[in-house]
Amino acid sequence: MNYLQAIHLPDRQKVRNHEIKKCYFKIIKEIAELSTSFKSENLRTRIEIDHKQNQNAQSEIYEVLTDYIYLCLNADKQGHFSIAYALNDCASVYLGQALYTQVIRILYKLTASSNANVNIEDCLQVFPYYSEVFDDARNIVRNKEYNYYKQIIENKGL
Amino acid sequence: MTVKTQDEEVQLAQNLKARNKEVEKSYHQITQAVKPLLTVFESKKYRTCIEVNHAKSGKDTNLDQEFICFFWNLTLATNKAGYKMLYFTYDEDALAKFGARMYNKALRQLYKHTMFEATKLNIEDSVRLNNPANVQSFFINRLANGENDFISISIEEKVN
Repeated sequence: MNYLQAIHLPDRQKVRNHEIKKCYFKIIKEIAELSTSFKSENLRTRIEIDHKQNQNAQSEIYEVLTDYIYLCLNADKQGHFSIAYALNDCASVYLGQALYTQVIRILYKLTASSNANVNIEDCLQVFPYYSEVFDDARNIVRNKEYNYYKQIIENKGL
Repeated sequence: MTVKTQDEEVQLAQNLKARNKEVEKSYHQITQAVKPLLTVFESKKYRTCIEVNHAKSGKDTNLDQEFICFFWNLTLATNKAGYKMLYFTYDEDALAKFGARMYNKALRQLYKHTMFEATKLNIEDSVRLNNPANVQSFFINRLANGENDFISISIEEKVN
């Protein structure tokens, strides 16, 4: 597990990692709040994975999967954290362009240098979205294969 | 039934005008902020910027201004309700060929100059991000047509 290397890092990098991790959870929280405005229960569903309990995890620390976005707090081999995200090509169709743009705004806003104690603007990485990953995660939850997979369905807000 | 008074209508029109002015200002800030991203490239093709002032074209269009380069297209347009909007499209081939680093940096500028804290009025809802699409062929066509009264083409200086 790469994140275990983080304890060997200099203090400056540890502070940066801490800021990135804090940002990751703020992003999840804001996207979760935004998702309460989605009509479809499918879009209000997310699967959260805590890879700290996964002995086979390499770079992933935490992951969140939805039908429109994938987010992952990663650590490279040196223990440096980053936030990877991937957007479903159909996300703008599912959410509408305004909400789609707003979801991405959350990522860039919360990692902006004006919003973080240290500059973490380069912590974001973009990847292609694979819907099979979300489908597989749903099956894992359904079959209760791993207890570190958690499915959350946000209630529809008023 | 809610009936708008004349005063309310004037106020709404003034608010819209102020909002649109802010969106236009952000458009110009974004175009200035993204140009330096192109200066890392050796090839002039990748450092070429095409700016279109549709308002001067004489054509009946809802497009106001446009910034096109090899990598992306940023358009300032007015929608049917009279709201100025910013539409951003990144080139899908450029994303595959050059990776997402440039994409990330361009998006950051787009969001930075339209975020609530950066503007006098909240214009966050003026931005529409499109899925990566074919921008290159559009860029190449514009380049081939050359400059005129409302189209200017410039090449950013390479910075080592």
